[in-house]
Amino acid sequence: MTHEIKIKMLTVALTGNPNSGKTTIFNKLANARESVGNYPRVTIAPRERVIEHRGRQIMLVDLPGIYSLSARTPEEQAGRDYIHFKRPDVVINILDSGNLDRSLFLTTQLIEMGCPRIHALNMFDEARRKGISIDTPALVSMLGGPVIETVATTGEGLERLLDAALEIANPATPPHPSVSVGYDTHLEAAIERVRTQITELHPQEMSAQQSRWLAIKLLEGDDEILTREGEHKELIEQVGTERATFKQHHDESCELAFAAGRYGFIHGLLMEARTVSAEIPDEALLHTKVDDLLLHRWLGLPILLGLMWVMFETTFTLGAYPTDIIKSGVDALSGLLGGILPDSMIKDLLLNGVLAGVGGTIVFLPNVVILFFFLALFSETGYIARGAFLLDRLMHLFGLHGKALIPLIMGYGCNAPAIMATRTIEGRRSRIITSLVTPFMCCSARLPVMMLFAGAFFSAHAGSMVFAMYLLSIVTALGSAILFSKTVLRSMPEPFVMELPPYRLPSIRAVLFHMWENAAGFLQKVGSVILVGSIVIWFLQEFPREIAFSQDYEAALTELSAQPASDERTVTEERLTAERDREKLEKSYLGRIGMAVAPVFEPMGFGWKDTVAILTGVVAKEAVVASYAVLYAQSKESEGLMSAISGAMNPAQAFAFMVFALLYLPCLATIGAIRREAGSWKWVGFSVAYSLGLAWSLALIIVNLGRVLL
Amino acid sequence: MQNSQMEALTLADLGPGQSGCVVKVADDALGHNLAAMGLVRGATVSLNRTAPMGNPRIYAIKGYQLSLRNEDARKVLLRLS
Ligand SMILES: Nc1nc2c(ncn2[C@@H]2O[C@H](COP(=O)(O)OP(=O)(O)OP(=O)(O)O)[C@@H](O)[C@H]2O)c(=O)[nH]1
Ligand SMILES: [Mg+2]
Repeated sequence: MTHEIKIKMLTVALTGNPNSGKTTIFNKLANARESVGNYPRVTIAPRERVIEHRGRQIMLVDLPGIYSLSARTPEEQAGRDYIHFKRPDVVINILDSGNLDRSLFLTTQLIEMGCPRIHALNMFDEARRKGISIDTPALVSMLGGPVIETVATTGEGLERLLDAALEIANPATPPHPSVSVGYDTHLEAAIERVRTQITELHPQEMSAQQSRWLAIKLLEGDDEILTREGEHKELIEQVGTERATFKQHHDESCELAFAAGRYGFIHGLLMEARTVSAEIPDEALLHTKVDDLLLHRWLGLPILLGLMWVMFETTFTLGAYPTDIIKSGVDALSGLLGGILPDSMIKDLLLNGVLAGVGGTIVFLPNVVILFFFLALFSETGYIARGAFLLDRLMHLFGLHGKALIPLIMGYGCNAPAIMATRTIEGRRSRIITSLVTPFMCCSARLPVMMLFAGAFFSAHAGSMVFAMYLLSIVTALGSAILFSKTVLRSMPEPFVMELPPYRLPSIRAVLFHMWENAAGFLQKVGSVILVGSIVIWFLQEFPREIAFSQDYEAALTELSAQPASDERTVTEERLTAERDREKLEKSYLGRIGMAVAPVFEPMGFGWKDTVAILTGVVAKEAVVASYAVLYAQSKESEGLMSAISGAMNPAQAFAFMVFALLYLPCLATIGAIRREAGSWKWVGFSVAYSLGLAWSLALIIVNLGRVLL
Repeated sequence: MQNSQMEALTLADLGPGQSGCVVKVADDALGHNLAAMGLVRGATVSLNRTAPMGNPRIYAIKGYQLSLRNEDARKVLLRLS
């Protein structure tokens, strides 16, 4: 036997209700950066990380939150199956101390399972402020395991959690006396009868605790456990009869009777272990007042709209200042390099390829960071869940679930994780609809495109123009959702059961951290996809070197220069040079690719340069701007990208291009996410075809309307 | 008539400022979810807020706020308290 096997790695899983602080604890203990937010169901898949504590290796697992061990959505099942079937060595049960009644429901099930457990009274700071005092030592014996007061946000008590985990995993530690949740006499009698049968079928295999747990699970009708016991026909039959008779006699199913019994146990327990001061704390009063305003029947929705407008307007206007600084930095660098480097292809590549593409994209970093600041603020304060509440009816009209609001808003940041967040939606069809419409949300990668065009063509109303694109993106998403739900994906209405999180003041650290994370992500993309993309585009437009021109420009130019200087000569010279450059570009590889596809966009009057930009955007949406930057880098008259492109289209075309760029295709990462969540390439194909078709038709309509109206 | 109306009182019928005591929850997947979240026989609930179009609504239950659509709230039978 090798050394590693002897000291087995300890698996410690964090479980608890949604929004109880599991991921915050996980991040602190494992030095990880998983997403946290003040609304239920942020974590949607288990996350594992190996840490070391007092010389011992521990595999720490963060799980999706669950209210009960008989859960149904895919993400809840992942959270439950880990506890049920993987059987971690220690379970850390995270409780919201300010909300113990409901938190303890899951705890009663953990107690019955008999898993080695530690209870964390998390958010103890909030409980204190609410005037709740908890008799922690009393809870230890009532819950059968160490109970530790923690504040995840400050790290208070977290080390002790791990100490306790090591201690109860140590075989030398005497086990906690087992506790059991008692039910009323009828249920207890039924449990006892089923248990007797189980012990007959599995003689000596199970402890009293295990057989009681199995009996309860079977009586509760847990499908998975029933299938596992499928081979014992008599047992299944007996359980069936027990459940039927119970329901007949008590006018209530076993499931509901157990739930009531659990809450009865919790009530008794809290009567002893908790006292709540009668005085309502100021903070609670304040939160009610804030809700009176934000959830107001008439003002709620206008306020929501107003807040979104503020978010986009600030993103645009406030972002302009740092953008200018970055821009002058890029220009200075470009000037400097232009001065010191000898004329060569390398210089051209560096200045007109790399620096133009990367520099042209990086100037939008401040806007992206500001956008993420607002998104972090909304999700950390608890406003996003309130948005879901305010908009549920509206979403419902569009065939979407209120819970779909969260993926949609996350989509303003980045579509790919937003599509993963659709896992919290119960029905498969609703889930697919949401993942198909989320890509219409104007993600932060499309922001630079919108800003470039808004700035170039609509500079007087640039902020409102960007806001309009955001509105259009949500209107398209909702409109498509209603279409899908009425045609290809007829879905059943689904329940909307959502816990409203309390307002929480986001810590400055958490918000800054979130901004930094996303800024780093953006920079990383600029340093990879955008950098490589810019170089590729530069090469494609510079090659082939030898081009068969339609006329001998050089000869014509030389001839001209022999003539005496005159205004006429200068004009002709300029015209010839421009024609030569244009022809060279058009006959380059890039030009040929662009020209080959350009007929598709002919009806809108987009040129081949626009076509190239559109094509590169499929890889990553930021690439659209980078392409323009490289394509226009050489044009002499350019005062900057914005003024360079502003001559290329009329306002209607520019608007049509913005709409097209907004809707046309999910990027590669998003396509991957759709494939995963919708479960087949069929839906990916559908999504691509639908969005291309829609974007193309809308752009065409806009251009033609523009012709009529302008 | 009076009597049958009393019996048919559901969570969705709860008026502003009223509170009630849960009598029965529907025996289906949704009912079981609601039960796990605290809407069990004997629990006290009150209406906290109503969304712009009258639906969904927010209830106070077991010391926290739960939002439910009216069609789902009909699955919970109440006695006024
Ligand atoms: N005041 C206070 N806030 C906390 C504490 N622990 C977590 N929070 C906040 O509670 C919210 C939820 O935290 P998460 O860590 O995302 O909760 P979770 O249990 O992982 O939630 P799900 O992934 O949705 O199941 C966040 O806004 C945290 O900042 C705490 O001890 N005190
Ligand atoms: Mg989490």
